[in-house]
Amino acid sequence: MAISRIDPFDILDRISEMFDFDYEDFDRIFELPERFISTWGLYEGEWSPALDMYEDDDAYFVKIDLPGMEPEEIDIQVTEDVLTIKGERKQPDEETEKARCQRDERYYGTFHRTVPLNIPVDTENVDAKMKDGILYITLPKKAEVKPKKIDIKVS
Amino acid sequence: MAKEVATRKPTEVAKTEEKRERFRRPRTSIYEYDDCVKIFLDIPGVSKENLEINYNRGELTIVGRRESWDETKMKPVYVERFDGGFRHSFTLDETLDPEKIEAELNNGVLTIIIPKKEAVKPKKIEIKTA
Repeated sequence: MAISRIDPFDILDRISEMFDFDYEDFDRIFELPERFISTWGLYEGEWSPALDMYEDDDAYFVKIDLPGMEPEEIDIQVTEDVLTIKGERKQPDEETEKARCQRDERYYGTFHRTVPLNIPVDTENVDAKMKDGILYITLPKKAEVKPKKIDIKVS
Repeated sequence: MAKEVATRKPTEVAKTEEKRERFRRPRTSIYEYDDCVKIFLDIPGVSKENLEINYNRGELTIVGRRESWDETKMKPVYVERFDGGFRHSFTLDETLDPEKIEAELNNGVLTIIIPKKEAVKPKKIEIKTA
C-alpha cells in the first residue's frame, strides 16, 4: 500500500471551504520575512493606519487607509530606501460636544509609519494622491536596478 | 480512496470559482444628541457611486464597495488592509424618525444623521413661582 503524503494544511482548506471563509488571506501574513516587521513603524504614534504595498517591475505601489484626513494633514518623506508617512487625525469637537457616546471604534491621534524599500526608488518622481480617504503612493524604481533580461547566445 | 485524497487539491477547486465579494464591518462611532443620533463609519476607498444606503422596516443597511488590487498586474510585498468592501446593518427603534435620515460622505467617512421624533426630544420644563 502506497503511503500518501498528507499536507497538514489540507484540513484547514477543507474547513475554510465549508464555512465560506477565505483562508488564503492568512497565508500572506506568514510569507512576510521577519526582518521587515521591526522597521514598519507599527508601534510609533498613537495608532497605525493599515498599509498595503504591491510592486511590479517598474514601481512600488502603496495604499494607506486614512479616512477623514485632508492631504495637508499628512507628511510624506522619501529617501532612496525608506518611505515615511506621518500625521495626525483629529476628531472634530462638534462630534463629541453634548453627545452621549454609544460606540466609538475609530482611531484618532498621531501616526508614524516607515516603509523600507528593497529596491532604491527615483525620489524625484514619487507620486502621491488622495481619494476618498485612501492615500495612493507610486514610487518608480531606479532604472539601473530593474531586472534586465539577458539573452543567451548560442555559438 | 487513499489515492483520491492524495491527488485532490482543495485550493485548486476554490480558485476556479468566481472570486466572490467580501465585506467587513467598518469601524463605527455612534453618538446620541438631544435631537438626533449620528453614526460615523470609516469607509475609505468608497465613493458615492459605490455606496448603497437602504432603510427597510426598521433596519438601516449600508453597503460600500471599493476597488481592490489587480493581482494580474502587480504582486504583493506587504499586506495589512482588508481589500474588500464594507457592510453594516443597524436596527432603528421607534424613537427615531426614518423619514428624515440624512447621509454625507467626506474623505471616506460616512456620516448618517437620524433625527429623533418630536415626542421624545427632552424638553425643558419651566418652574412657575406661585
